[in-house]
Amino acid sequence: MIHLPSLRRKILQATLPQIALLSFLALLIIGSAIFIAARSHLSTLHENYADSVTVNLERNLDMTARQLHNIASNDLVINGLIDTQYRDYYLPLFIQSLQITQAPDVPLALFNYAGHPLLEKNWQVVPGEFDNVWQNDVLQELSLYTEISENGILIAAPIELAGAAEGALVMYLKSLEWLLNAPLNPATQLVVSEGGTILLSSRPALYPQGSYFDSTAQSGQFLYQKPWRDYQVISLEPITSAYSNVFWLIPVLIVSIALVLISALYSARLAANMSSASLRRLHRNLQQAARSSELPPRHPEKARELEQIHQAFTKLIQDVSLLSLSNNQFSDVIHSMQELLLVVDNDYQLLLTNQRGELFLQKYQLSPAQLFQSLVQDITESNAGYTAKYSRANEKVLHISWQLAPLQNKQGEFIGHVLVGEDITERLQLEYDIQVRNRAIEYASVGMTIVKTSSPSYPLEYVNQAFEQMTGYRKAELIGNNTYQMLCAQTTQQYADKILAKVLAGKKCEMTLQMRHKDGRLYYNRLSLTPLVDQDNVITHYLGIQQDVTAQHEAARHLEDARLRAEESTQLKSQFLASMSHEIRTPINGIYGMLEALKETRLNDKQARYVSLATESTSNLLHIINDILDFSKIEAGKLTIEQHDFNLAVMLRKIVAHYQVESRAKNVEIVLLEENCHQLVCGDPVRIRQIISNLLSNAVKFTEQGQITVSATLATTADGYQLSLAVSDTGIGIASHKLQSVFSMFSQADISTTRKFGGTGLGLSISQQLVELMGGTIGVESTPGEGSTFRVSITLHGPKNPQLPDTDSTTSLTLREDHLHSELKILLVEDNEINRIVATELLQGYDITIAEDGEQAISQLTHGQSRFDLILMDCHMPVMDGFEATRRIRAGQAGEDYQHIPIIAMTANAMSGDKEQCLEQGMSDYISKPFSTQEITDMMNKWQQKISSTTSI
Amino acid sequence: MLLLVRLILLSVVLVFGRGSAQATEQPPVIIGLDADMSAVAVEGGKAIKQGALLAIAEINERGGVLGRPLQLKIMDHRGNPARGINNIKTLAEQPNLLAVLGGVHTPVALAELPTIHEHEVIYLGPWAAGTAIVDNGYTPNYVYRLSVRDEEAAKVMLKHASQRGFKTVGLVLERTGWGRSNLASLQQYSQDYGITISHVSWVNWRQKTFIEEIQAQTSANPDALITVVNAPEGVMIAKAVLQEQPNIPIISHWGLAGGSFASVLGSEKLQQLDLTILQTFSFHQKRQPAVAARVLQAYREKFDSQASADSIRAVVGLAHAYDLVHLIALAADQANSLSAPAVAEALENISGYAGLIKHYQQPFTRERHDALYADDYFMAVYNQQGGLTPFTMNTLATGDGQ
Repeated sequence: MIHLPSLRRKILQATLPQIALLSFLALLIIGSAIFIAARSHLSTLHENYADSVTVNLERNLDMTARQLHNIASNDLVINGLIDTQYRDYYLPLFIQSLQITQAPDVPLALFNYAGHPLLEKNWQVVPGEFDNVWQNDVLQELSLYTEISENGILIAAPIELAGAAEGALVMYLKSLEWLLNAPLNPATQLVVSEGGTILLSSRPALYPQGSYFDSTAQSGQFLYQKPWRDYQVISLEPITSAYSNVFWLIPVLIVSIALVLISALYSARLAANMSSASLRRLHRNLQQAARSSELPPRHPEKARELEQIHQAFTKLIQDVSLLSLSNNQFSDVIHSMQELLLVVDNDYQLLLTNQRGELFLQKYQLSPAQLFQSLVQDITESNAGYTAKYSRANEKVLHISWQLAPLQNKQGEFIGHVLVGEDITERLQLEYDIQVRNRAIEYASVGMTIVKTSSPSYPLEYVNQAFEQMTGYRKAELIGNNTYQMLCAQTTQQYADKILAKVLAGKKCEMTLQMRHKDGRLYYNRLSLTPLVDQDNVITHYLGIQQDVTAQHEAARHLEDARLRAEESTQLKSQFLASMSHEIRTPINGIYGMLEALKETRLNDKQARYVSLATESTSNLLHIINDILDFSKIEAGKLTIEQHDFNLAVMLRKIVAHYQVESRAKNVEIVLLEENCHQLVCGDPVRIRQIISNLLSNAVKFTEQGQITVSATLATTADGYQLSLAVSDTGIGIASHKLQSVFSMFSQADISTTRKFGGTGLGLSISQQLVELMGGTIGVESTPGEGSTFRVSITLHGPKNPQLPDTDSTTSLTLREDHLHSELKILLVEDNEINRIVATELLQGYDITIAEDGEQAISQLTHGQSRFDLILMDCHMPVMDGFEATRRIRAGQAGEDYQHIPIIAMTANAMSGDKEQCLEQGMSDYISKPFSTQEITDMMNKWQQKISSTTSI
Repeated sequence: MLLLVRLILLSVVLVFGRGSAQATEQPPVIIGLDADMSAVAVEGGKAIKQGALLAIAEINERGGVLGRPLQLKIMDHRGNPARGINNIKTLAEQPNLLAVLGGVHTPVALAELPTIHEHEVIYLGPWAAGTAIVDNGYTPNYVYRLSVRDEEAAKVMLKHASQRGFKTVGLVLERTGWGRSNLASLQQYSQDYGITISHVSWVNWRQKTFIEEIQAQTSANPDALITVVNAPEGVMIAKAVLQEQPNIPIISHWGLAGGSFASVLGSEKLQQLDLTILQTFSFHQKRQPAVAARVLQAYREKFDSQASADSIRAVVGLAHAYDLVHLIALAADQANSLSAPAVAEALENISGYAGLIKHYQQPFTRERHDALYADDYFMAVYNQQGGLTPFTMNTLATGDGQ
């Protein structure tokens, strides 16, 4: 007994190995638990990554397909299948303007009910494997078709009409990448085909799309994969990075275990010391009591404590019996509480709890001590409660908000804790739902606004980001203000009041308004206003859903323009084209000639009047036919703009000279102002001449006094020249409301104009179309009674053959002004306007200058800027007849150069002997009126040959 | 002379009539029906089919055509021109084809013209009214119509508007060849009736709302609207009108009657509208009382024992098809051939035929391929049963036939 080891030693011997073993086991268990937990956490994490990829892909695929389906349901597309006549005017434009995904140049095609393509956009890139796969699903079954293969994605939507597919809209995406926003996570996600080809990669730099991926050869990678459709979605991450967040725990763990071991050792030692000391004292007392054979005198301290305990105990029993009744009520109250109630003493022994508290502890297998230890630090530190999460397998996470209060006795001593927990799971869920909706509204792609109607100024109470973007104003500038003046540029107050009244009456309003962006540009806003009511059904706010529809508006306007143009042109074609052919022109020239011949015969007054009316009508008819022929060509797309070198200055002078004759007859002077026009330029001289002639002939026609100014400026630009041309007159002018329509077909300023001035009204329309064909612009300004100015701007190119001489007007006179015909320059001397037109018509393409009588002819030869090769001379003219003029030319009065110029007589007197008289007077040849194109062309060819052979000798 | 011709014709008919009894082995003669049987103008297609079947039953009862039974082959084009063209090609391959009856839709008929003439198929128009279907520029022209002609329809609608004292009208037209055909005619003749066109709205097939357009129309302040649309678009327009401008009178081309306009819109809404609609035939009109009674009786026996004079939907299609089938059968018998040029010539020379719609002096000539003109048309209103009864100024006085 004496040799037994001391209690202290025994305790230490017994506890030390166990503590060491337990610590080691704890180290092992905690270590493995951490690893397992980390691994399971990683799996969950990567599963989430993979899920987010599939969810995103499916959602975007679904959204794209639905969008395609919406377009296929557009009434314009459906109408296009029915309206075979005119759909070419709007369907291609519509299809070209579609943008379905962010991907550029998405191939898109429209098919008819039998699967034959009607319209295609970029379709040539679509692989052949997709040619025949969708037809059955879409055209027969009327369902949306989506196919994803290694070569791309095909989506086809039926165009439905009353339960059957009348066509289909099909799109193709080359890669899945356009369907997935890059995921924001540290791992890599791949979509891999069965054959191992990467269809989609979130890190194309590491794993390029289209390359091969071997999932078995990925050691050193944490890899998660799950099937999606026919493919595998893989999420992978290097192991070192995957576990990086748990590696640091290992040293911490070892240090903690060591600390636990040391403190356990120390505690064991202390406990052993204390217990052995008290036991020794007790042993001494017991020995003492035993020796005195009576109870040892009660130790004062202990006796008092025992006494106190006894008294306290007795009192407690009394109190308890007294409190029993109120205690039951108290218990009912705390069990009815919705909150969890836990009361513990300072050792965390449970003193009191309610049913909910008890259930909670059971359910989550927590002891009060565990619960308090998990909470007490957070709570006391923050001093304001603490929210904790509790979860069990297959159950929703429970959120509890804890409030801790100290438990004090009457003396104010701190004897424990009162813990009250409130289940706030539902409240959090509600808050979360509200947050989600708020975010949805805030980040919606359409603008959303809320206006407070209960305040008289109707201030904006809320706007989302899309609305900020749409208007260009920041929230701070918008909220709290009535923004109507700021935003609604083009809306009258009256209209706004009407809409407001409708909304305040509880009706939903939809409208499209033109609004002004902060940067000043105007845009169209498709606006839907919905009144919002409170619980008492009183309208307090209205919600505005706003969308910038400028693009659609523009597209619709273009469509409408295109359609109107198409319809108008088609009507015209059907009405005129049938009857107006090129061949009509020639017989009309014949009619001219014959009428002219008839005029020369002996007529009574009545007959002469009839012939004069007939000639006038024929003249009008010819003009109309020419215009309509040009117009039909333009409308039929047959008119092409040619490119030839020509000298602008020369052309301008000729045109002006041509019209000068007519204008001077009315005492109106044409002034030509040219700047930098002595350039050889490349363009379509015939058409430019036609445009200028149209403008000039109008100016002459509508100007009774004053002058006409033609100003032309040729400016050098980066890729050629810019011709700015203005024709100003001092004529009758055009009323401002008619200005827009002067370029329309068959439009003169008013119908009475046509009666007074004749013409088809097509000239300006043709000019406009020609200018547009050349990529230029035409416009008009006018003040009624003061005159009009037509301005044309055309782009011209530099000459194809710059080595040709240019600039100098005298040398350029010898240049061919246009390409069409011969170099022959003809002076046509003819007093009769109709005959001049006939000859000009028949000699189209030749360079013709006109003189109205012999005197003018000699003046042209002497002072004119042109060098003539040949003269066509009428015989009978006022002032100076053809015979006299010929005699003077041959006598050298028009200069030595022209003494031997070929002079061809034109006479209506087709009688024998005429020819002889002409030749006697010195004329070179003779042609009788009326002549056909063939006759005059033969004559010209004959003389051209003679002239060129003479020149070459 | 006339008597002689009649005797010869009679003997031909007798010879073939007698022959028919023992010649039932011969393959039947086919009349094709190329119409919308299932999409947007089903009532029109059904009425045309019924009219054709009634005539065919009568013809077969008296011995058929060329002594052979006559049969109807139905092809559905659903209002889609592409399907229609395919139908004409299929029918043209039939060895015993006499002619093809068309359907309600002008755009389909217009699109089929090249195929019709390429295959030399006689095309009988019992409905589609586009002027250019008949005035198509083809020589020979194989299209014959016993129906409304838009050019004439415009006159009737404008005249109706003028009689009711309207000065300005807004036009609502479908965006197809049919709509354009009517725009041309309405613009051409409006002045003649002292009427100004205030605004033109175009409607797409399957458009979803007409509210903005009706607002635009309203702002031009017209006395009435003239509409040229089919039933589905008609319903959409009617709803918009009821919402925005319920009192404005609507003068409608007959496209509404080709589909289920009345049944879809519903009796209540129909009664709120001031709507008159162009028609060519009604069992109420007693132009040919004996024929009408006979056909109505046959209709009751064959299709609907409860049918009344105004209960048959799209009745114009029935009447047109009935007269057309009789006329083409008569022409084939007179030509003694199924060859299109021969039958066409015979068709152009029929004189004095007592049809269901009227007594035709000469239904067609070489130059005139339309059998009905403005004098044959009238305006009608929907009664409470959704049937159509002729409009009179009295109807107006007693409240639109309600």
